[in-house]
Amino acid sequence: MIKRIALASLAIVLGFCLVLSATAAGPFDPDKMINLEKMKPKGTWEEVSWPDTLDLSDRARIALEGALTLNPDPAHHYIYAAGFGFQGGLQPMGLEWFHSMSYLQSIPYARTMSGSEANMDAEAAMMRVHLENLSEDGMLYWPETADEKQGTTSYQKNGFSVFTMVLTWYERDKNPAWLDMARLMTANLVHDYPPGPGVMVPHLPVIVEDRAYYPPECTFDRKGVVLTSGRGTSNYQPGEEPKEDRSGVEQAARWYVTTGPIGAVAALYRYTGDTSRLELAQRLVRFALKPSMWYLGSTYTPQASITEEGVPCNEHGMHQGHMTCNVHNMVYLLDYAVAFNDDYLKQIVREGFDYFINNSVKRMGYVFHGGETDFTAYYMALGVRLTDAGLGDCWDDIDSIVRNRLVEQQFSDLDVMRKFAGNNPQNDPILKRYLGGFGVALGTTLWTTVFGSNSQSGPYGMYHAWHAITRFDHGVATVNLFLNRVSPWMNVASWLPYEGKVELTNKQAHTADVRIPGWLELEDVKTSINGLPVEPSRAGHHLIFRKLKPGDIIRLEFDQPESIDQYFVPSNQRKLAIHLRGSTVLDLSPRDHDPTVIPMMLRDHMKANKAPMHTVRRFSSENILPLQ
Amino acid sequence: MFRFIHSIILVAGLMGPILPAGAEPIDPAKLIDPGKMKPQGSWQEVTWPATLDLAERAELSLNVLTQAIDATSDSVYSSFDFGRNPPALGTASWFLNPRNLYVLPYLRTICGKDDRLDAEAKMMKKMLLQIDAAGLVTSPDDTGWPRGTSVPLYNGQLALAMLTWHERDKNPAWLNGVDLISSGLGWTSIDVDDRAYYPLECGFKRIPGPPGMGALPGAGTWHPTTIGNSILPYAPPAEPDSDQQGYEGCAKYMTVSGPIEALVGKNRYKRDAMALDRAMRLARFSLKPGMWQPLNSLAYPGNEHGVFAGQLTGNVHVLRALLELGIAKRSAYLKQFAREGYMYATRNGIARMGWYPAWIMPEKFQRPKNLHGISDNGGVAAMLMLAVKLSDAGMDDYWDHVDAIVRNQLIEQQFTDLSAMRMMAGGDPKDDALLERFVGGCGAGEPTAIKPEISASASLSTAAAFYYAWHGITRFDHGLAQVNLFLNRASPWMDVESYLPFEGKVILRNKQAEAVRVRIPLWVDIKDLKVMLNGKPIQAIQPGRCVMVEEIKNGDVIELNFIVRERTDKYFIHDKTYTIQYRGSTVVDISPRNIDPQLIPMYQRDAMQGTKAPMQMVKRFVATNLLPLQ
Repeated sequence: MIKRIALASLAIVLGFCLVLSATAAGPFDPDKMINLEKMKPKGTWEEVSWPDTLDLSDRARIALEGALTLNPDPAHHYIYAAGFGFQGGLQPMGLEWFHSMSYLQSIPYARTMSGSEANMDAEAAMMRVHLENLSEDGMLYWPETADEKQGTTSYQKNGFSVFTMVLTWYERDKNPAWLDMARLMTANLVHDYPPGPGVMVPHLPVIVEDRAYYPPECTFDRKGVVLTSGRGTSNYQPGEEPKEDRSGVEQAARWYVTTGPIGAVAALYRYTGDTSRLELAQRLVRFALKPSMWYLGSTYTPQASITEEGVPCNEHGMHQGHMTCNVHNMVYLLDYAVAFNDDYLKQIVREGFDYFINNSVKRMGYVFHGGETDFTAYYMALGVRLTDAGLGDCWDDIDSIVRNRLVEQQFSDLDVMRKFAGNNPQNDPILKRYLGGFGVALGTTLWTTVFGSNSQSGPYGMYHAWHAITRFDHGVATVNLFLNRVSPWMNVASWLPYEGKVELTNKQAHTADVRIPGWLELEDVKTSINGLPVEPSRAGHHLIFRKLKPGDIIRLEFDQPESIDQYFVPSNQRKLAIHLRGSTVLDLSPRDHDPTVIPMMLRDHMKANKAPMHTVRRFSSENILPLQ
Repeated sequence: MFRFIHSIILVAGLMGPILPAGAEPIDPAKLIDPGKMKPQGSWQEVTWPATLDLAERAELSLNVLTQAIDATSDSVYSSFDFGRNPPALGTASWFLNPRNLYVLPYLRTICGKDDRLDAEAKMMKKMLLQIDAAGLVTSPDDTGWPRGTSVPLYNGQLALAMLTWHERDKNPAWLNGVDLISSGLGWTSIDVDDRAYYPLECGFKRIPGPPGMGALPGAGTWHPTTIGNSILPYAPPAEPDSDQQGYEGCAKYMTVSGPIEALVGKNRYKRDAMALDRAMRLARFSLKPGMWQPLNSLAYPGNEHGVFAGQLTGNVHVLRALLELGIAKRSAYLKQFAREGYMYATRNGIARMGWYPAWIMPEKFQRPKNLHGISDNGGVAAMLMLAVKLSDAGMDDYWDHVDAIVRNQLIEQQFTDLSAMRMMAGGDPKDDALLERFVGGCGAGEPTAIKPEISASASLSTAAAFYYAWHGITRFDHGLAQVNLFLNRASPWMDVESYLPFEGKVILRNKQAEAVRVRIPLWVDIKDLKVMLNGKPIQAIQPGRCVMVEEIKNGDVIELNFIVRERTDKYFIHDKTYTIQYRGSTVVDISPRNIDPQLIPMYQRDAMQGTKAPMQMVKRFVATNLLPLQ
């Protein structure tokens, strides 16, 4: 079996080498792959007069024109800074290559939302660095020492590259060479190294019984010499099969071993039908489902991790430890499960999502113990994908998180950054490089550090929500979220939370399928088309408007329930009184008055009952990139 | 032990209907009209796949629920043990009648049968005569509860039954009866701070007031049940402080769930802020920390997130009551609470099999450990009902859970085979007449085998769950048919014919709809789905996980074809790992099996391994008066 994988790998690699041998620097010529003209977002601009309420396209623009494209450092191969603190001055952190391929996914997403063409040269240059450092063997080697050592590669990150940057760029310009690149990189997830000094694992992945693993937090040079992460002291012995999810510096072995490769195999299958690496993915999934890779429960043996209630954690998606890695891993376990119709795994992921909800104040978008935007964003992505996969209706979860958590974790106000940095005008050029980035928050406050990782994941999560606001298929427009968006088929304008009003301006649809949030009763919604009351059909908690014509304006009006509810928030170690109108948090108390952190949800202006209006230009994207 | 309760003027607003002692508050003759009890609709002969048909199941439930009644007392037998020779009847228990009366109209709506309407009418008459002028349903004898006392749980359940009957005949007098019972639920509740409760597993005996003045508000004494003793210490009429107190070990359910449902139900028909306020007080009692697990695994309090231990059935019913209240009060807090409780319960079972344990952590509360290893159909049914309600309320989408429950555990725990029952009972033909009365009853089983004992409670819950599932198969509104479940059903607007699990085929025969929106189960790969209209392939429009076909005409036939994938998965249940074979969402085999001859094997489904659905010609009822889900 191992031989079969290895032979297939060899054949694919040889094929690519033959085809691409004319290319000098690497298997894919950057000049042929990067086309500035095709990188521009496709669509039209509209001037709209609509409520000045949460607008993800504007948030995406702020991210794109700031941290997403300006943090990566041109002087250092466009490697981004791991973080940037601005409490009482400027505190740049070291460089980190770890998520660079994810930047190259989030940037096209942010352009699709916002239509912005800002800093395209930087984006192109960043991709060029990646292409130039992709070797003939399909491995991406670090261009300089940052978090990992120069000249080494990571199987995890090679897998990530496939479904983040490679396929997203393919969706943007449809250049089939990206698919070739995806094939090459996926094929080389199975790799042999000749014996030599420092070669601990001559065959990757390591096969154990019916499963397989890559040594977590290890990188490999071109000869297969293992190098460990420079991130800290590890409890993991390189080469061995990780004993628990807590193995390694980050204590997230399941994520490090499986996420990238599984996602790559599933993504490649979606695009090409290629199943040559299916067996690899199956083995990795078996590794991921080992009892020790989940919450160990109250009774643990290598055969079973059982909770006090008698629930085996690995069969029900119960996890603890590194929350971001857990949820991110589940996003791609789900991708695999959907691609290969694994209903067992689908249910595990859904229950894993539910486990997060049980450990959250979901209505304020606060999950587990607060934390980084990476988690928030990946959690949103998981909710969207579960819903799309028919594993529930998590739109209200997405809505709560994007309104109350994700946007609050974004540094969107330069004045606030200036204030915390000491109000020195000379700081502005540097602060602007990080404007629009994202950070880490507890219950009611945001740390004064923009994190490089979070700055790429924030727009990724945002894109999932934006993508889901409305979809269109053969004349039917679906509206899932009451958030502003311009689209070629229908515009959605939301007066929330000021007023219970949503307006849908039809352009192309003959039917609108509008989901009504769970906090709102159908009988409380008044509906009209072009000012005349109508009675749409009810289907579950959806309203279906049929026989629409272009130009029709559907209006939904309703009273928003307002309440102050008490929830215990573990990171604050006390109950918070949460003032909600509809699904929007208007206020929290008591507040943390620590002057070194940024208070969140200062939303007195939202307590008004009349939405401010403004006239803005919004981009109507015609090439909606799929969720990768 | 007994304490005189001084009630409070606060409930004075609920006192309006209280009449002088001795007056007859409700005249059954003005309420019960046998002519209007017949299910309304028509019959049609259909040639259908011989696959799961809830109309057949409902007919079996109707059999047991109209025949497992003691003719002398007009009361439902609490149990029926047919694992012995001769079989043994349980106690005839008047307090099970309200739930019986609640589900019988539902069952008739599904199957169209008007058999034994007289028994149904007689039972309702008896219950109505038990309602006194103060709005209390009093015990007619000493079975379970001291004669003359009134138990809030059953009062609430009778009010819900009356709402179902109201939906059947539209006689507004039923609503007056519900008002009266609601007033009784109001003035007997005991206020503490911002909440209210009833003493656990106690009946209330009121003290009549001076002649001509009726009862004094709140004046009465609480008397404990004779059914069993509380395993954890509890002294009535104190406010319970732990959910596991009482003989049932589910204090929330035994005290406030029925009353909350009744008060919310009343509000649905006659807006009544005071009734909702009272329900909120009762809900606050149910949300006390002691009524839930203290903390879940990551330090979130159980009473904010629906995390519970103990009896699953009762807890899930409470979650449904809180959801109903959340909808009525426009409380997103309560709705989310119910959803999170459901999520927690799901994790404790096997959602893809519809298997849920009877108890969570029983040994922690001095109950037998094996209660975690059996699945009570009462709990399974409660999960289904909550799943439907949550889905309808826009609080997630649980139709796949409903599908998995109804196809698998729920129907496997219904006793439908007389010959199997006869064999377990010793095979004596003289028992047949008795056994036949109990065909359609339900019980509690392990994953692969079930004890030959019918529980009235499980049978009643299962019957209600059948209606919830059947009701959810397809709905119709303003020309749009919605199909949520791939299960057989005849309806006035569209028939649904399902070839599952044999074939991946569902046929929809349109009668009235202009458009149909079909929810596609999670296990169907939507890429493989092929849709035909009158035999011709059409482009399926996909809003979300649904497929929509518009501009359809009466008589149009829509056919969906897809692949039914087979899987074998392993799940750990209680103390062992089971291997479960699936075709789509249907369990077709499970191992290892418990071959104890004293148990009846479940999931004997070799017939479902075929790939061609058998066909049959049957008469099916098309109900034109769909009773809402109460």
